[in-house]
Amino acid sequence: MKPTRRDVLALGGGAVASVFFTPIPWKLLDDASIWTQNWSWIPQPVKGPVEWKESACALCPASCGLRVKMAGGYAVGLSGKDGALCALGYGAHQMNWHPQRLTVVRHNGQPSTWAAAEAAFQKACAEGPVAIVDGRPGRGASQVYRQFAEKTPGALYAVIRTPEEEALRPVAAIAGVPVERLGYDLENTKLVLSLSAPLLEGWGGPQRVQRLWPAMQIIQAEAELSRTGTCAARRVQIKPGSEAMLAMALAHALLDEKLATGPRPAMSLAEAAALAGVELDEVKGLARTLAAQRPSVVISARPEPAVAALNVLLGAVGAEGGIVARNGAPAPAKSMDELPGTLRAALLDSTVPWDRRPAGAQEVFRFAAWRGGDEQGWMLPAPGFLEEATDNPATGARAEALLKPPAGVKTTVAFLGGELPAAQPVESAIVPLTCKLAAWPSAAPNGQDGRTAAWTAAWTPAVLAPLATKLHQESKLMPAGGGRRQA
Amino acid sequence: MKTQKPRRYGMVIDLDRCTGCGACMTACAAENNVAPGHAKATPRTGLTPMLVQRVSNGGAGADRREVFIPVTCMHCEHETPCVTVCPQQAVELDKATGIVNQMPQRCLGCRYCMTACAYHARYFNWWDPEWPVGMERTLNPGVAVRMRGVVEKCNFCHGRLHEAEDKAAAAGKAEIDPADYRPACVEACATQAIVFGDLNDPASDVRKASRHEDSFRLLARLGTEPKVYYRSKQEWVRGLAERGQQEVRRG
Repeated sequence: MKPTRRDVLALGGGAVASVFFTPIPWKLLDDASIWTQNWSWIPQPVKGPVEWKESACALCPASCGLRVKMAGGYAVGLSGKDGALCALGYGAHQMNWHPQRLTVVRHNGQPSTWAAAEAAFQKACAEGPVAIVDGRPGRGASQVYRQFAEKTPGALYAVIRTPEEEALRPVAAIAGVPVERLGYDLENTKLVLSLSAPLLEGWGGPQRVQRLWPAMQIIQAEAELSRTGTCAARRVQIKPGSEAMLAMALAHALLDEKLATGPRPAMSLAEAAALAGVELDEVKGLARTLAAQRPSVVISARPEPAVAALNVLLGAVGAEGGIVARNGAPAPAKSMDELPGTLRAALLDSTVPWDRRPAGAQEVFRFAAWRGGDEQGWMLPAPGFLEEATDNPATGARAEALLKPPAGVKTTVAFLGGELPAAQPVESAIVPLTCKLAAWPSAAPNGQDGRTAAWTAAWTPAVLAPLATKLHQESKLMPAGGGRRQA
Repeated sequence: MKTQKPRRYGMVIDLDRCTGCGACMTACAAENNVAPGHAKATPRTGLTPMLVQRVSNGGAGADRREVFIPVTCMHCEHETPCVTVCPQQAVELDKATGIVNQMPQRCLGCRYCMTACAYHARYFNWWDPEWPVGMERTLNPGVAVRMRGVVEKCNFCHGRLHEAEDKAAAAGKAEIDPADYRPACVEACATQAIVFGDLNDPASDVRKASRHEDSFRLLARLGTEPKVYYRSKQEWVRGLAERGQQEVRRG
């Protein structure tokens, strides 16, 4: 039979129609989608055997233990060794490749050289005086800084105090011990009355309080609802800046209820409670709770003499679960804020936050792994995350570097011509501390001194948020100001 | 060869323990090779397989209360909406694990599943993943890089499940050790607000927590049987469970 034109058209039409009843179009669609989803420019993970190594996080003084997932010589994942890490910590291994990574010496915002920086620093040392500022005392590097300050005429060694240490200064003054030796024994605390302290937002090391809470009860007294206030067992609304007033009101209530003995504040209970914006009954109830739930401690965000005195009345100073003293703490040192205002130069270690610099220093040599801050003076590229040995000042343990730093990077120790001493275990133990309140301290006006606010905010901008945490910032979890909490 | 008993992996999130620190979100992004957010990304167009929402009771001053609600794929068990609507069979409910899996290689990017999902737990990948030069060396080798044009969601860190199964197989065991399989968000939670495990296992913590009188599920009235549970002792928080997102936003 001779095929007609009609037969050819029918066959063609039938073939086209029937192909939709076969897997062919779906397979083509499938393949096309796979093909278009695997372009050569899509990044691929590093190939190589995976192994886990142990290290320590250097982002903040907490020095959390790390388990580092390594592949092909790179860190490809992090997890906590003895518990969880903070939000910043989980993306910290990405930070070494941040576009703002500093690998070239910069002087007043312009590229420079190590030779020029060294010459400028030697000239400054010769003209003196210079200060070496250590953001995390008690490390092996701290010993090198101290030795440099001792052997260089006119050189000074100074440290940066954490907000927690700052808050303990009034207690140190009453107890007559160096603030470096004091600390909160929160692991044994039953109840914390927090006076606007950001306990669950990074205070005392990002994860320490989170691990202890909610077994450790928190009562948050604050003017503006914070994350800690959200999670606290109880929240007390106070007027802004009235923490010291509440502390004085509580002291009166403790003494009135015969729950403590000691001197009274000059301001009356009714006056203090009114200034704090808290009802008298609530003050008395709080005082009874503090006394009944011992060991309890009162923590303030700022150094408050009234809060220190309240802690002494409460019996929290020198008691288990309160404010305790320990041996094995770093040797006392001058705070950066106590440095003279006529410094020729200041050398800032990479652990010093960007927003901190000695007032009045003519020239600043700042070590940093990432660009940031005002870039005035010298910016000296330092090793980044896991690129240098990390010492834990509390234990003396040292985690060796796991990653190779990029070319052009130098440690502060190498810049000073020193060598990192061998790690030395620290024998740290709680020692007896007796403290008696002879007279109620004069209550300083409770204004915003700005220092604690800057410190509370320091760790986030100081280490330059890795890109992964951009998600965290964009999630609107953090308060306005890029995570900077106003104290 | 022995095979594992069918499991129903699920999660219980104690909202009274969540401090909103965001570590779960960062850990999730790092584990699953989620690229940095595009400059034009919004909360809906960015990729956040785990997203912590901050919700208030609408009060002011001393009456204001807030809660942090980590929202992820609920791994619905009954007539899973995203599975039902997918024309490409790119979504499946794994009967062996109870995990709702997304297969990006099959996904055409039609986004029907996003429309069907009542929890807004699915995200379309609008942009090619890009990292700053060199940062691709930090990518997790256990997870493929997500490409543009597909829908993303939480898969309970499926790569970790594979690793646990490989480990069990290498040891000649049929069952994985529950301690070997924990999603990144669970591991990252400092307050241990997230409990994860097999809901079929009567001895598991997750099963006990899911049956606690304080536990509830979001939009349970839809009948999709989500396997992510929440817990809270606060009445107003439990009251949020059946409210739509718009209602919650309005407070």
